Amino acid sequence: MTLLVGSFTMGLILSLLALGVLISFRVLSFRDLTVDGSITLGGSVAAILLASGWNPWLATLIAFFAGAIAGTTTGILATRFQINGLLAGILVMTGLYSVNLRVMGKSNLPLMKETTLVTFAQSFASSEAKWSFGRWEVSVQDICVVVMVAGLISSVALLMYAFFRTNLGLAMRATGDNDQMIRALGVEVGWMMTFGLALSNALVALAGALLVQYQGFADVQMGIGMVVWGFASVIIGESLVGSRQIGLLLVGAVMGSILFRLLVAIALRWGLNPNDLKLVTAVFVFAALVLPDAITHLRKRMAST
Amino acid sequence: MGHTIKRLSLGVSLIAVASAILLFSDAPRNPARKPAGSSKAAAYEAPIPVALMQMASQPILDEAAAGIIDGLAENGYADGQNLHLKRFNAEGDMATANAMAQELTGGQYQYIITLTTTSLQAVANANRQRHVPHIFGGVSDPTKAGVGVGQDPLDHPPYMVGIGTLQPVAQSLQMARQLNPNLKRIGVIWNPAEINSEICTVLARKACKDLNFELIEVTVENTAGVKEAAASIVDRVDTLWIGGDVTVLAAIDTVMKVAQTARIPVCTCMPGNASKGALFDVGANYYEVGRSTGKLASRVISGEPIAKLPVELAIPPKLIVNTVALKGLQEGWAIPAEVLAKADAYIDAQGLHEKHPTKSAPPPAAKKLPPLDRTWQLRSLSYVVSPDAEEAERGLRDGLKKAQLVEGRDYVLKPSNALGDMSALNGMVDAALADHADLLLTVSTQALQSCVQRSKGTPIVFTMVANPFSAGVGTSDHAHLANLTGCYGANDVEAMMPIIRKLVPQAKRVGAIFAPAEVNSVFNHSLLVDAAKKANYELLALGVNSSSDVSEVTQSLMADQVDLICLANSNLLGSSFPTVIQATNKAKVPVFGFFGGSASQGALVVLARDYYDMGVESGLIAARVMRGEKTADIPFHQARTSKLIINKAAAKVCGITLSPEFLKSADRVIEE
Repeated sequence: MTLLVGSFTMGLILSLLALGVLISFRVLSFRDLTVDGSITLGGSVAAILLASGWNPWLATLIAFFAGAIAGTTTGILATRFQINGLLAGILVMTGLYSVNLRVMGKSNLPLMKETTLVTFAQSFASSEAKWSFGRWEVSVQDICVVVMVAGLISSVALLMYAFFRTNLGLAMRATGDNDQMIRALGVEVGWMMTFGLALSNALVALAGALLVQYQGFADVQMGIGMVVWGFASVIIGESLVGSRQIGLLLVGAVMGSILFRLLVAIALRWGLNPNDLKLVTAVFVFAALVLPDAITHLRKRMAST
Repeated sequence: MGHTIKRLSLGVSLIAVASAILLFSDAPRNPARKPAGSSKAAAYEAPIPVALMQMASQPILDEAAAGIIDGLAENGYADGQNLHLKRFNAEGDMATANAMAQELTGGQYQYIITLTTTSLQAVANANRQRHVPHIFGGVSDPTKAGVGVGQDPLDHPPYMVGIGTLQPVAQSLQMARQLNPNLKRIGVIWNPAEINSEICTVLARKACKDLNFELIEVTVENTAGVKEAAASIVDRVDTLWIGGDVTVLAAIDTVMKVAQTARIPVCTCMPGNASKGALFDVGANYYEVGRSTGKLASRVISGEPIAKLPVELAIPPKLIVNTVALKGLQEGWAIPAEVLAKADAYIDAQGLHEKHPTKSAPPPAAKKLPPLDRTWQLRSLSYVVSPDAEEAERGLRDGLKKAQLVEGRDYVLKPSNALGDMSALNGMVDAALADHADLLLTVSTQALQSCVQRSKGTPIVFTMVANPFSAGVGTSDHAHLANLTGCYGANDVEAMMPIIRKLVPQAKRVGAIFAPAEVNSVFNHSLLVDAAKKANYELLALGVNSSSDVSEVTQSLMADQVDLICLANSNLLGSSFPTVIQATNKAKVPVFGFFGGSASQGALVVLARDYYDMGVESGLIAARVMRGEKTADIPFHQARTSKLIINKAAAKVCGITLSPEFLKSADRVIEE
C-alpha cells in the first residue's frame, strides 16, 4: 500500500512536469529540451531557500519563477535569435547545469531537517497513526502528503484550464496551431511563444521544487532524462482521453503521469533484473507511442457495432 | 458532461487496474516486520530478505557491491542460503531511486544496504517513519549527507549505521611532498556533480593551504571532457592529483597519457591506480570497503543493536608506490628509501610486490592429507568436444589426484558434454542438480554461464574460461559470486613482450586492433596496453566495430608505419584474422597473437593458453572446496603458462630470422 501511495504521489508531482511539457509540446508545437535543466533548477532554488530557512510556500513560488526565467531564455534564443528550437533548449539546459551548481553551491543538498511542504502536510497527523484496509496498512502521514499534492495539482490544472479560456490563452493555443493566422490578427508570435515557454518551464520547475521536498534532497543530476518521462506522460494521456480538447488534455497528462509511475512501480515490485529497468521503461514509452492508434481503432470499431 | 466522463473512463479504469495489480502483488508479502533484534535462531529458519541498492552501474560501485556480498557470506550470511539478497540499481535515475526507496522501506525487506550518498539519502528519507534497519557504505562523509549522522561515531539514528570512507586526501598530498620537496603547484581535475569528489576537493584545498601548495582546479562534466581538462593544466602544474572522482577515474588512462607527455606524475587517493601508471596511491580499496560494509551488515542481521554500533569513518588506507612511473619525469621526483619501506606494496619493472600478503597462499599439497569424510558427487560439464576441452578435462582429473583425492573413495566424477548444443547444456545442468551433485566443474565459458543461471547455491569450479569478468561472474579475482571460483587465462601479453623484443629488436611502434563492443576484447586489450607501456613500446591502437572495417583499420596502421602488430583476442578479429594477414603481409609486418588457430593462418608467433595446466589448477581449487573451504573465499586463479607456436612461413614473409634456440623453445613449429 505504501508503494501505491508513493507512486501516486510521485506521479502527481511529475504530472506538473507533464503539464509543462504539454504546453510546449502540444500547445506550442515546440520540442523543448530545457526541461531537464529547469526541473533541477526548480529543485535547487527551492532547496537552497529551504536550507536557509525560508517559508516553504514562498520557496516553492520562487522556484516557479526561476523556471519561468529559464523558459524565457529559451524563448528569446529561439524567437529573437532565430536559433532552432531543439538547439535553443539544449543550450539552456546545458547552461543550467552550471547554474544549478552555482545555486546550490555544491552538487547535493540534503533537506532532512528543514520545514518543507511535505513536513507541513505530515504535521496534520502523528507519525504513528496508521489506517488499515483489510490486509493493507498505510501511514496517515503519507495520505496527508498525497492529498496535499493532489490538491496542489488540481488547482494548478484548474488555473491552466481557466487560463486557456481567456483571450491570451486562446491566442497562445492559436500560436501553436496556425501562427500565420494569429499574426494576421495582430498578435506578436515571438512574444507569445516566449511567454508559453516561460509558463511551461515554470510548471516544470514547480515539479522540481515539490520533488526535492518529497525526496528530501536536491541533486544536480536529478533532472537527467526527465524530459522523456514528460513526453511519455503527455502521449499516454492523449491516447487515454482520445481528444484534443484542452480540458481533457490536461486531465489526460495527469493521468498519463500517474499511470506511468504505477507501471514502473509494478515493474519494480515484480522484481525485474535491475539492469532491465531502463529497457522496460523504454517499452512503456513505445507502448504509449503505438497505443493511440490502437485505441482510436478500437473506439471506431466499438462505435460502429 | 456525460461525454467528458466517457472520455475519462478509460484512463481512470486503467489506473484502477494498475493500482489493483500493485496492491495485489504487495499483499501476500506484507507481514508485520520483525523487530531489528529478532533472535538469530529465528533468522536462520527462512532466508532473510535483504535489499542492496546502488545508484548506478560503475566499476567501483559494482566492486563494492561484490565486496558486500562476500562480506556477508564470510560472516555466515550467504545469498541463496540463509539470506535472500535482492539487488536494486537506479541506473542514475533519481525518480526511480525514490520509487525504489519506497519499495525497499515498504516492509518486505528486513534490512536495507545502500551504496553511494544519493541512495543513502533517498532511502533515509523514505525510511524516516518506517525505521527499517539500514546499513550504508560507499559514502565519503555520512555527516554531510544530512541523514542525521553526527560527528560522534554513536550519534546516528537507531535504525541506521554504516561506513564512511573519507579518502586520505591530506595524507596523499603529504606523500607527494615527500617524493618531491620542491613541489609547488598541484593540479586537480574533478566533477562538481559528484558529492564525494567535492568533499575530496574541499579537503584538498585545505590540505594545500596547510602545506603551502597552490591548488589549480579544473572541472569536468563527463569522461569525454577529461582529456581536454587535463591538457589545459598540465603545463602549469608539477603534478596531477585525483581525488575520489568517479568520472575522472573512469578516464584515468587518458589523464596518465597527458601527464606523461608533460613529464609530470599522477597521484591519487584512490586505490588501484598505481598499477595503471600513477606514481602512488593511498586509499581504501572499494572491494574492501564493501566487505567491511557486508561485515557490519552481518553484525546487524545477527541481532546486535544498531544504536550501539559506531559509524566508522576510516578504513586503513594502503600505500602503493610505482617506481616505474618515475621514469621520464621532470627533475625533483624521487622515491626515498623510507617511503619505499613504509609502502604496503610497490611496483617495479617486474610487477607488483605486496609486502603484507593479505590472502594466505594455497596450502601446499606436500604433506599427507587425510581422505574426505564423505564421497563427493562431482559433475563436469563441457560445451563442445575439442582438443582444448579434452586437455582441460584431463587436467581436472590430474589436479584432483595431485591434491591426494582418490576417485571412488573421495569423489565420483561423471563427465558430460553438450556437443555444442546450448539447450542440451541447460538440461545437463538441471540433470546434474537433480542428481544431487555436490560440486559442478565447468569447462568453457558457456558451461559456466549456464551453471550460474541454474545452480542455486551448488558450488561451481570453472576452467578454460578466458575472462570470467566479462562472463559476469565477478569483477576482480577477489570480488566474485559467492558460490563459484576457478581458474582462467587471459592473454599472456606480459610474456609476449620479450619475444617481440627478441625477434624485432628495432621495433618501437606496436599496432593493435581491438573490438570496443566486446567486453572480452576490451579486457584483453587493456592488458596489452599496460604491457606495452611497461615494455616502453609506443602502442597505436584502433578499434573496429564490424568485420568490414578490419581491412581499412589494418591498412591505416600500416600507413602509420607500425613495426609489428600485436593482437589481443577478440571474436571479431578471430574470425576476420585472414583480412589482417593480407594487409600485413603486403607491408611485411609481423603479427603476434594469442589465439591458437591464428598461427596456421599466418601469425608469426602465437602464445596460446595451456588448457591442461589450467585444468590442473582448477582441479586443485576443487579439492580445496571439497576440503571445506568456501568458494567465496577462494580468489580466481589466473593461469600463467602458455604454449608457444611459431610459424616459419610467416617469418620468411617478414624477413625475420628465427634462431635455433628460439625454435627449440617452441611447443609447436609450423613449417614452411
